[in-house]
Amino acid sequence: MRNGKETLNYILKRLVLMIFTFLVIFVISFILIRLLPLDAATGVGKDPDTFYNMQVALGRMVKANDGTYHKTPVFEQLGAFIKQLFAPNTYKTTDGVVHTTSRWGYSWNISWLSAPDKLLVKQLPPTIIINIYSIIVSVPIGLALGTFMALEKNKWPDNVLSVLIMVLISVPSFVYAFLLQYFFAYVLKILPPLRADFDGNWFSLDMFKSMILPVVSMSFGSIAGYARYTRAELTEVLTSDFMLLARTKGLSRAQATIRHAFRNSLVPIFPMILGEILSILSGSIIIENIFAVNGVGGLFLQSIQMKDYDVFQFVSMFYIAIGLVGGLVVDVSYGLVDPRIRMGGGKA
Amino acid sequence: MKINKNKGLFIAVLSSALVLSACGGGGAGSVNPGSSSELPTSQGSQAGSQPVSGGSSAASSQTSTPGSSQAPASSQGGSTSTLKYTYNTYLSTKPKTWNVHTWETSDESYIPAFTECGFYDLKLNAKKDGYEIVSEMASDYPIDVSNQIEAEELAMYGYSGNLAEGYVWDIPLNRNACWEDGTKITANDYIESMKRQLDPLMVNFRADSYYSSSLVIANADRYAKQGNEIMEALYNYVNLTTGKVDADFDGYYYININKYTPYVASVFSNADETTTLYTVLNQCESSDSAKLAAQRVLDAVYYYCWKFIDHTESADKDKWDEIKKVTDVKAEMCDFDINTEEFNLKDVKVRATLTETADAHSETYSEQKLQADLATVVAAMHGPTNKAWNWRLPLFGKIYNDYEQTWGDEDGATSGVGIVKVDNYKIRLFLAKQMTALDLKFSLTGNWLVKTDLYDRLKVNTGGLVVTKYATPDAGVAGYMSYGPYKLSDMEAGKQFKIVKNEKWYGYSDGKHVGEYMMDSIYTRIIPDHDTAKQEFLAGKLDDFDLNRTDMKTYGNSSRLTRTYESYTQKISFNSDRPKLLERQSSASNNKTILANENFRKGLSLGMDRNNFASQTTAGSKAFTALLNDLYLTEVETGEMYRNTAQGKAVYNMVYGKLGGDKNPFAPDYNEATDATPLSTRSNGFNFKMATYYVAQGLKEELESTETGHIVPNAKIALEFRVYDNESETTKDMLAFISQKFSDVVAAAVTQLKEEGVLKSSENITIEVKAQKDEDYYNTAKKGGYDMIFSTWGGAAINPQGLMEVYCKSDFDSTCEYGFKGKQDNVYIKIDANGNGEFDADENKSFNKWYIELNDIVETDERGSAAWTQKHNRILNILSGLEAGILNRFEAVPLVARATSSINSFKIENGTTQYINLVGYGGVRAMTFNYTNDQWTAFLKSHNNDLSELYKD
Repeated sequence: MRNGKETLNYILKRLVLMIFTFLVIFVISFILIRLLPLDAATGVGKDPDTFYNMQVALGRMVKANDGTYHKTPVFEQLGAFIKQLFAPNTYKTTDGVVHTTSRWGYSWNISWLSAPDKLLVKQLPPTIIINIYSIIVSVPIGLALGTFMALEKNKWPDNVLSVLIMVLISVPSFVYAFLLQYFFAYVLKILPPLRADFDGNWFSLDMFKSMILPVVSMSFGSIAGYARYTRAELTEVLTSDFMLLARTKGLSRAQATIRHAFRNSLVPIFPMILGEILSILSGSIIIENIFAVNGVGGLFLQSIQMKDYDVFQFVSMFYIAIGLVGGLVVDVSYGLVDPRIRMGGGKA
Repeated sequence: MKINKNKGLFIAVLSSALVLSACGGGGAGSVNPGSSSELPTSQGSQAGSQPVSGGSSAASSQTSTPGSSQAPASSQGGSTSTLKYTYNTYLSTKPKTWNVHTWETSDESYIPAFTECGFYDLKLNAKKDGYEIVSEMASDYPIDVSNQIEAEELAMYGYSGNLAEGYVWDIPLNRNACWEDGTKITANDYIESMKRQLDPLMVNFRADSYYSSSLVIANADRYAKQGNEIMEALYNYVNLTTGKVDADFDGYYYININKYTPYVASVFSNADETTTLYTVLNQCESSDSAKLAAQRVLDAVYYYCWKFIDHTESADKDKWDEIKKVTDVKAEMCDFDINTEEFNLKDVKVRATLTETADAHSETYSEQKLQADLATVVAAMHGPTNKAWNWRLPLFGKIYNDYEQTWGDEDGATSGVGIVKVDNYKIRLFLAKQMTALDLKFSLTGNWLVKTDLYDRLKVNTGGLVVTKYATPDAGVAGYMSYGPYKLSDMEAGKQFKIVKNEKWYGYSDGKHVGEYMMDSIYTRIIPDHDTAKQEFLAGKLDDFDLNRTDMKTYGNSSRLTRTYESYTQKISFNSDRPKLLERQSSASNNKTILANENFRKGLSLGMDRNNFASQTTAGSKAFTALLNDLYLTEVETGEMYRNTAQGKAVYNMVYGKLGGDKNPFAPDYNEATDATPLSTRSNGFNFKMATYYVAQGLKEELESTETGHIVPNAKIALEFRVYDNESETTKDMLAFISQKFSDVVAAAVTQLKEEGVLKSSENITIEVKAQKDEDYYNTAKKGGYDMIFSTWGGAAINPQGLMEVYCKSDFDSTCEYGFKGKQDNVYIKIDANGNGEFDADENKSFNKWYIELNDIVETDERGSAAWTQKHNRILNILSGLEAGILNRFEAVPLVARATSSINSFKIENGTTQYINLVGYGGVRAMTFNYTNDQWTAFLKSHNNDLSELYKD
């Protein structure tokens, strides 16, 4: 970051672009989900009017003169949704009590009448905790393994670990999940197979123990990824000319590696770690199902499958916002990690 | 899963919820609270004193150290240290609500199954070989007071003349019933709860249970729908003195020649709900002017429907596309409410004279001309009046119901909804539809009670909707009030909930529930992953586990296996509509129109060995050839199963009777009298030889056909099988089985056709069935966009007549057999309804008319009397006739009667080992425990927490 103003301009430009991208995705998501067909459940003695009248009241359908129901034009729905986002969201009942409604609408299919933001927030803690534990476990182990492999490059420990890492990368995480659960929970019986019930404390010993298996399942892939990248980067740096210079200047191998090589090798790895930190808010559908985590892993997919429009809209926008911010932060972080990388410099 | 409660019965009786579940794949959750009996709990002292019934159990003999004081295995539940009998179970999906006013799926009725009670309930009888009805929230059986009500009061609920029995019922309430907080439950609670259930401003999906099912509370529908515009016949609202419409409507008039209006009943004394305005217009021939007027009205409707209604998304698009002139239009195609003002706005043409046809288009029509013509018709057809405004009588209008239907005051002194308080512990139901006491008891095995103050406090006004968070995950335990044997004590939404004994429940002290409800808590976890649930079960941490087809290979012979039968029959539904198939097929050599051939479909049906299908692809379902399986009862009091009646048994013969043997029924030398052989019932409709003959005949007919797009030599029959989940292993196995059988029979038929010289030796015809994922396949099917699907209808086991709606009712929206959809009015069938061995003149009716008659028969006569027997036999005769009629079309081809298999832990014991209709294995009410929690922990420890081997035998 040679020039603070340049960087600021770059960030501002990216912010504007980010908002624009966010809005485009918002509109596309809104349109796509609302184009899915809406049909009442049918059955003997069922009155589909209840369902259709509900859709009419929610502005998703209109009743034609001939009594048939049709979907409200999607842009009309979009207008109403945007209006709802910014219009006052309180009303007073006859007893004088002021009620607040959800600007993002409500879940009608996943959790009746839950506000999408509250629904997400309620299910976030176990996902976040598992992800944080996973990062705490995977980053140091991954970096340490990668460093060790680089230092032992082409020797048998490196070869053995490389094979192991390839296996870990190739095998999907749910396979480890099943195996770990089976051996540690049901064969050895030393760890709980499912996430413990929440008793008011997410950091109790029972809760911690019950999260070990999902954390380990999720960490294997990350450990392998970090180890592979670190090895590759460090190997390249260790063979650089400046490393030779450092050694000729009298630094020991360890000093040169830690002070120079390792730091340089972190340039591409640090944004990777940053990206992982930003992704702590997203859960793995399969891992969460296997360990009954009840996190946010399946919420997004479920909202699509169940046509829970408002939940889908909020959850997708939430993750898109995180993704966009994450992208920006990662990009900016390059400049922080390595001052040689210049932000928004335009033409040289 | 094993826990079954009366709720299931309530589901079945009141909602008759049909499910079009994706076969094998897309099913709902694993828990099926539906189908049997009650909730359990042991009375505190009772449970304590009740001996553990270990002696009889294989499991008990394996108890290593019963009585160990170690922490119970179920202590995951968190609070089991003081609990003796904990039932550990799971759901695979999360219920979004458990409010009895809004629930829709079986998972959503899971919690109320423990925490709420119906007025009546079914439980295992003392011999454990049948069921009995007991009173729960009612203190006694319903009392028929129909003939004790004053005429003035009856009039308020729309009754006229002398009221027959079965319309007005008093329900005495249980005086000991109370909420979990100890507050007494009185008549007011029921009235106020029903008021909210039917609240027109609220979204209550169960409201229709009180006006669309067999239990029809007077004015309930009008109350629930007020505020809505409803298209109604104006005949009921026209003031015959002033001619004005005495209703709040928008002033627009609508004409629909295909709808019934009470006006037609004023013209034809024998009119019923199938008689429409078209019938009046078509028969208006009393004078030339009247005839012309009637024809002009029809011309205008036909012309408008043809020219000005958009049919691009209509199910009848193909038919409309074929219309070239007005006279091509058929009356049955014109089921539209047409605003008569449209005749002023659009250029609608009609004939001017009788000598012309509609195609003359010689006169431009208008709303005024329509009114004049209708006035002429009404006057000519001897309607109720000759006034100038009588054109209004056959028309329809959008009636606003805002002020029409009041709730009525507390004592029922003003006209209102037919539920009133008689005293603090008695409510009176005024029904719009006659019911027997037995049917009413069945209908009241559920309840609509909610804690109204809490319910109201949790209301949210969002947009145009009023909804409540009562009994939702969002409101949690504090947002719900139990009144049944158990109460909700703790929950983590989406993860687990704990249900414990409700000490305030009357049943623990009334002396009527001794020995029932042994368990004192239920710990339910949400475990979405099947394999995880299996491991939990094998480790002893779950007391039941639903088996899939793969698990059956390991545990299919387990002594702990139970099979729960469902009312659903899984069928293949073929699209037999030739135009739609033609539209779908890319070319004659990539053929689909063959499905329009009945012989071909019949051959495919005969080519499937359903016994193998059931054993190879399902987890416990059994081969089946009819629409209504063994669960359906035609006589609830005695438990008479429809399939066991002579009529029910006869259906197989009516469909497969002559399809045994191996002689070709199409061969010139075939003599039906000597060659026809009955097809064994054990073969379940499978005869490969006969299948080959029928497929060959179908192919031959189609090869020789002159229809557009008919099959040609060397064609591939390319069928698209729309399924909910094409990745599901079960679905894949099912499709592989069906595909193989179809290929086998087509190949055999092709060989036969070559031998007969119909096909040259170098020619071939093959068949290919490809799965197409379609989560909305039933809606696709109702629009005809399919070749074949699995359709899986089920319904109230006590109301098989009602289920025939899905096949026989002409305006049923979701008919899966597209080729028959909407034709139920036109296709006639002879049924020997009176059982005299002959088809009398009045025994040839359309499917729809038979269906209406079937559902209109009410068996109010004394059981066993001649009148009752006659009516009962008539029901059976019509029901079996319709069932055989549908099956003989081979558009709906049954494969299996659905059942699920589950396995119980050694800890628990069902009330009975034999599945009993309506109560299953006795449900939670009758469940007993072989081990206490502590003993179970010790038992598990002695087996190293691994019971996998024990469950195999």
